[in-house]
Formats: sequence, structure tokens, C-alpha cells
Amino acid sequence: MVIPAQQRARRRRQGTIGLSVGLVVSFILALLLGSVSLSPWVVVQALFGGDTPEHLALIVQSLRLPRALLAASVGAILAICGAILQGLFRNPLADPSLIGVTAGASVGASVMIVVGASLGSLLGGIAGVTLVSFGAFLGGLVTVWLVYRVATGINGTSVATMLLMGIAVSALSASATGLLDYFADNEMLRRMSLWRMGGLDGANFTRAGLSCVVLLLILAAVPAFGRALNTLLLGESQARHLGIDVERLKTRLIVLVAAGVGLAVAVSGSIAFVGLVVPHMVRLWVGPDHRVLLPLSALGGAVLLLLADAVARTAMAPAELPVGLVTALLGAPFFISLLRRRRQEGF
Amino acid sequence: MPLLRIDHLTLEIDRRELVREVSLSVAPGEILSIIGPNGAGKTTLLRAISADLEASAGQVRFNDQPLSDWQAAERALAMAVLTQANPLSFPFTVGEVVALGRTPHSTGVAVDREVCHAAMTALDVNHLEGRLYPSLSGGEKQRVQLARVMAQIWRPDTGADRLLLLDEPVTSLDLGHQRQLMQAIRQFADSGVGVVMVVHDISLAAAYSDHLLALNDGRRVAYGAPDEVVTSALMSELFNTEVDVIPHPQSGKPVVLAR
Repeated sequence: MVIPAQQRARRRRQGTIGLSVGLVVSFILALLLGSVSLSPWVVVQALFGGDTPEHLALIVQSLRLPRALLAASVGAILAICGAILQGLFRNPLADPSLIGVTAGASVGASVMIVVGASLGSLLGGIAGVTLVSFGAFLGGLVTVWLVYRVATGINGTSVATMLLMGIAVSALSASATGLLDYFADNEMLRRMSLWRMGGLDGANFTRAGLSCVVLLLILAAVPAFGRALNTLLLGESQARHLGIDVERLKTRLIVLVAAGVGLAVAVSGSIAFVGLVVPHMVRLWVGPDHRVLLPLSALGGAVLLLLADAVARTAMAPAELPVGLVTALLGAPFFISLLRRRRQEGF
Repeated sequence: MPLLRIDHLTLEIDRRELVREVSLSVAPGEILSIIGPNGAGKTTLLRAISADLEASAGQVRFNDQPLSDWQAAERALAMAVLTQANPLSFPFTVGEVVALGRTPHSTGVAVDREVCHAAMTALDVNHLEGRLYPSLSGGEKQRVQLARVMAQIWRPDTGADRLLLLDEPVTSLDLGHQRQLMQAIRQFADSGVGVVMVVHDISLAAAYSDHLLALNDGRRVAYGAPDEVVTSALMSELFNTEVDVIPHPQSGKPVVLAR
């Protein structure tokens, strides 16, 4: 029998190397593939200012590059937020979309679109994205806090309550957005429904830059939270007895997740499944230690969304599939097979 | 100077008095066991000592300072707590769980590994080190959790004396492991650590403790050495059932027998 501890140490190395290579490969693929297939040479020249036809350079520089950056950063944010939520709720079933955080963030964003439009329409520029992101952040913040307060008691988090809260919040959000639709005029309606369809096709350098900044902020917080999150898995009072300021930790984590999910929703609509599957897969591979789990989840999320987006753009070119559909198609079978294997191995 | 000193402590939860005017003191190297029927306030008292619950009257002093003056991070260097329920469903290995006990310290990887190894040896869980925690039996989990809290205060890393709080540490164990675990706790105490624990098995508590504290309905009904506290009259009254107390044929410690 292989001892899990040794196996894990080896898998950590393999996972880090494998996912790093995977990120580079999938990023290159994302630049090469699309409705127009480009040769690697053309892409290199377009990126570094070589002699390429202008329309091809344009495709690489202002369409594919920001889109790849956006896909990678949003995927990483969603996966890392999923991993944090699962640690916070001490439950591997917590996911931003399942417990209603995505829905809450959507309401916040919709409100901001309506308010922003009536304020004189700054949407499209950096102010617009920031405003919508801020709305989504507030919506996400209120939702995580609410779900956490209701679902978590002295004996830990109740899964049933957590998932039911997700349903309740999603229903509330649906009616709130419906109400907003009712009051919105044609122009706002069009904008909201376009935004709600989400996807990464609205990528530009403003959005990609903003989400890269938020990703860097979250990644910078990982070393400080990794160890504390590990003790939180033992239980809240156990973490307190290990000297962790649990209340402050929870507040910070909730704000972090709300910022991450809020931004992801604002720049790319709701992409489900990444936050649930990626941390799960990484955990099955390297174990639940957050100091390893969080960075590897970020890598895995970036790879998954880059690949999913490449498939979404090429499968039915020139038409595009919604990327959320592809993440589910790619991730679900893999997830199911891992679950089956976990049952057979008996842990 | 006592390590832990409690003066006329009263505790309330939702305006219900669960512990009334209890006083006690624990010196380094001493084991104090809290006994009493279900709902007597044993766990509540332990929660107050571990700073999970604030006193509504009276005072808890730890290392000659009011407990409320201790910063959580400072306290964790000298006080470790094993609660009754330890729900951990994530697949940490046993070695990783024990290593979590070293979280408050910054003593370096080498020292941490040495301490964890010593704690695991003391509780006979060394052979489980590489196994996954959720796959263990109930008794094994309990011993691993005890190894974790012992690893937390294994060495005197600060000037403060160390205190170990245990809530029913042996309840889910078989006879052999109960004895082994109590011996490990005794040895740990002999290295200069004060221990306060809630125990249901009176005979076991009497065999290994220096002092017993009997609680009934939140009040202290007896406090002292085991042979003063464990008498048939007091035990019969405490548990509301007829019992006999006889001395153990070898050790002479009191043993409780239900009639």
C-alpha cells in the first residue's frame, strides 16, 4: 500500500510543475485558436511588433490577448474563491454559484447598471466597469454574510441550510432582477440582458487589467490565510484555541470572496462550476492543506477556463458557445470519475 | 503560585445560571478531574476556563493574570484544549493534523517535527502518521486529537506555565486504550503541566487524578483528594442511584460499583 503522506508530497511537486506547464500551453493555445487559425510565428510577430498583416495583428493584440488574460484571471479567481468558501464553511460542497453569492452579485451589478445609466451612462469605460464591479462586490458581500450567518451555528455549518439559503437567495435575486427589468427602459434592458448572458466575449484590456489586479490582491493574501484556514477546518473553537482570531479571519475571508466573485461576475457574467470542481480536484490530488491548495487551485482554474474558452470559440466557429456550458461539459465527467475513484479508495 | 485560580465563578447562558459560585485552583503538575451527572455544568465550566465563555460573576486567573487579559495568540502558547466534538471531514493525514497543533508557535520545522513525533509516540499513533484522518476509527481519531493538543504545549516555550484542558478524553476508547491514554496524560502532567479534565468514569478519574471536583446542578458539592470525594454516600447522592465504593485491591484507590 502506498502511504498517502508520501504520495502527497510527490503529487504536490507533480501538480505544481504540471499545472504551470499547463498554464503556459493553454495560454498559447488560446492565442492560436479561434475562428481564424493563426500560425505560432504570426502570433509571436504580432505580440512583439514584427512585420504582420494589420488585421492579423489586430486579432492577436486587441481580441485574443486581453481575452486570454481575462479568462486566465477570472478562472483563477473563481477557483481560489471556491477553495476559500469551502474552507470557511468547512464543507467541500460550498461554491459561489450554489450558495447564491453569484446571484447576489448579479443583483448588485444590475442595480448599478440601472443607476449608472440614469447617472449619465459612463458604462464601457473604466468607470463603468468599476461601478458595476463595486455593485457586484456589495451584492456578493451581503449574500456571503447572510448565508454564513443563517447556515452556521455552534456545531458548524449545516449543508442543508447552506444549500437552501442558496435557493432562497437565488429566488430573491431572480425576482429583484425581474423587478429591475420592469422599470428599465429599452436601452438599459438591452445592456442588462447582454451583460447577463455573460461570457468572455466582452474582453478588453480594462476588464482584463482590473481582474488581474484583483487576482494579484487575492494571491498576495494567500500566505497569510493558508495556515489559519487549515486550523479552521478543525472547527471554529478549535481554531480559537490555537490562537487564531476567528472572527477577524472570517470577516476578511468573506470580504475577499465577495471582491473576487463580485469582480468575476461584473466582467464575465456568471460562470458556474469552476469554483466547485477545481478545488475539489486539486484537493483529491494533493490534500486539503490550503498553503498548497489555494495556489494550485488558482493555476487549475486559469487552465480550465482558458481551455474551455478556446473550445467555446472554435467548436462551432464562427459562432461562439457560452463558456459556462463548456466548463460544465469539460468538468462534470472528470469530477464524476474522481468521485467514483474516491469511493473505491475508501476515503 | 497556582497556575489556574477560579474564585466564585458564576456562568450564564441565555440568562440561565449553569455554574454557580465555583472556586478551585490548579498547580503545575496537578491533574484535576471534574465529575458529576449529565447537565451538571462540567463542560460549561471547562469552556469558561478555555475563554470560550465569559464569566458573569467571579474571576478566572491564568498564570496569575485575569484570563480576559490574555491575547488569544499568547494564550495558545501555554493553554491547549481538547473539546468533546472534533468534526474534521477533510482528508488531512494524521501527521498533518498533529502538526496543526504547532500553529501558534514559530519554532521552526525541525523542532515542530520532533515535538509532533514525541507526542505521537506518547499516544501510540506513530504507525498511523501517514494515514488519512477520516479513515481512522473513533478511538484512533481521539488519540490523534489528543496528540495534537499535547504537541501544542509539549515544551515550555514561554515563561508561562502550561495548562491542558480535556473534555471527556477517554469516553469512546476501549479499556486498554483508556488506561494507556490516562497514563500518557499522567506522564504529561508530571512534566510540569496542569491538567483539568471532565471524566465520566469515576474510578478512572480517582485512579489518575490528584484532586476531584464534584459538580451538581452547577454547584460545587465536593472538592479534594480522590478518597475524600469518592465515598458511597456522596456518589449515591450525586448520581441519584445506590452505589458502593471499595478500595482497589492493588492500588488502594477508590472504585465505584453500581449496586
